[in-house]
Amino acid sequence: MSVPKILSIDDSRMVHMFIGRGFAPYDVDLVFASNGQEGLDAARKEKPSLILLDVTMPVMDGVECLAKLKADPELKSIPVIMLTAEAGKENVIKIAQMGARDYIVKPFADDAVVDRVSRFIKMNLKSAPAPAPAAVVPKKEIKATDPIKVLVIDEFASIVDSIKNTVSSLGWSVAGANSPEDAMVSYLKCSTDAHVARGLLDMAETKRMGGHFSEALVVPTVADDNAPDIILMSLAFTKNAALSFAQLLKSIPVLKNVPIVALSLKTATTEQNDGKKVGITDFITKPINFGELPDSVMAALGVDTALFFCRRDRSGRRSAAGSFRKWLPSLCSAGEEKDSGPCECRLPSNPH
Amino acid sequence: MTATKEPSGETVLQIINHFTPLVLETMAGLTAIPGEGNIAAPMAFSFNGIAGSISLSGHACGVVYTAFPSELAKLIAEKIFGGPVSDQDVSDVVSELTNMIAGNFKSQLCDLGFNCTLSIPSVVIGDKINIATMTASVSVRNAYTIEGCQAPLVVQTFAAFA
Repeated sequence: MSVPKILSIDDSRMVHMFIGRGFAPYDVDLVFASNGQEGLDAARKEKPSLILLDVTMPVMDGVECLAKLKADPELKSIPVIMLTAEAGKENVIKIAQMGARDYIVKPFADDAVVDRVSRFIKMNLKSAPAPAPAAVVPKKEIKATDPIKVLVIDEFASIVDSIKNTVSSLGWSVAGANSPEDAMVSYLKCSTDAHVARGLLDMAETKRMGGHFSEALVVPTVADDNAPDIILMSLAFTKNAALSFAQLLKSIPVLKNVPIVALSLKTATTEQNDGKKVGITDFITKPINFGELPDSVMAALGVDTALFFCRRDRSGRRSAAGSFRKWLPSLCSAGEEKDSGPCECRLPSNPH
Repeated sequence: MTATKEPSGETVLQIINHFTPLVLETMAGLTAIPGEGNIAAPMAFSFNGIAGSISLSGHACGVVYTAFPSELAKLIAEKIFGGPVSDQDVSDVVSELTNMIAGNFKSQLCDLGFNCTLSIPSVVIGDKINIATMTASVSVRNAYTIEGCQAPLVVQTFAAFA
């Protein structure tokens, strides 16, 4: 796929600098022109994917430039976003009627431009690491009967408790943390305090956004015993902390193959897309359907679901995970009721 | 057709007081605290530094001047560019910030029924730059104190409505 090309037409070096800074983390080609005439020439030569066009400029202003772009059969389909401090109703109606697809009011933050542009063209982060393919770095093999270690990171203690209640009867252990920083200090024990953890996340965020830092100096060490089998994490933390944390985990040897399942609202598509770029491949939608949670966890772990399992809780009753629950009565013999600990049963090859 | 009421000096001051800090906060991350303001056709004032100006023409005519003391203009440009800046960079920043303040002022006037167009910004650098009131029904001035700089930014607006 070719790299998208963005043409910025503005007479201000300051605006070009803002735009350059905003798009620095993305794999895009930027072309700059300092007035409408130069912009038209550049558009004909470069055939950009999108044009950012200032209104007030010397030589040829943005309105005249827009009219000429829309009159040119080869250029008229290129989406144009106007950048203007003149956002009065009449001005907005005028540029919309002339064919501008959107407008950004000055003053603007550089990420606002990136946000608007991303509605029209697809952009990829420059150094977004691809999720590690399982075939190259094998995951820890987990069976359904293993005592799975789950780390839940969510700002709401009630969600941690509900997950604990749901899976503890399966023999899984659940540890909770109220933030990525808390998880790093209390569970992974790879940071002495929240401030140090925050610093590590900031550096991971720099890397996630295409910057660089010396990994040898900052990648923390996590003991094997402290590594969970799976992490369930809310995406709703401020400062992109969840995404930074996911980025950081990918650089820690004992954690880089630990699946991360994001807990997020169905509507949080931007966060989910950003999550995929840092290797989060599974998502559980909030509000959580706790009945389906064990299935989702096992799917993320790549557990062989042909192996049915059931366990006994403290009262001796058997329980099973998610959709397997319905097979329980017919698959476990009455004699097993007396046994303690897990029992294993084979599901029919095609239970349906 | 109903006659559109001319914006008062107070209205103009409110608009400028809203957009000047907004522009500085958004583009440079600097907090600008407006002074009390003077809406009673203030006397001419003289300053050393860099002045940006943009004129309006149409149903509203006038000029928006921004007067940046040299050290403040340099501070803002360095904040925006993230490092040392040339005189050209400082001039460019003053020009664009003036454009943003005046452009938003113009939009508000248009929405109030006074359509007008903006000129290209001009920037003047020197000592003892005098900014004086011309024949205008509205003449408003205010000073904006900005963190990290003792000398304030002054914005002077002249307008007449037709």
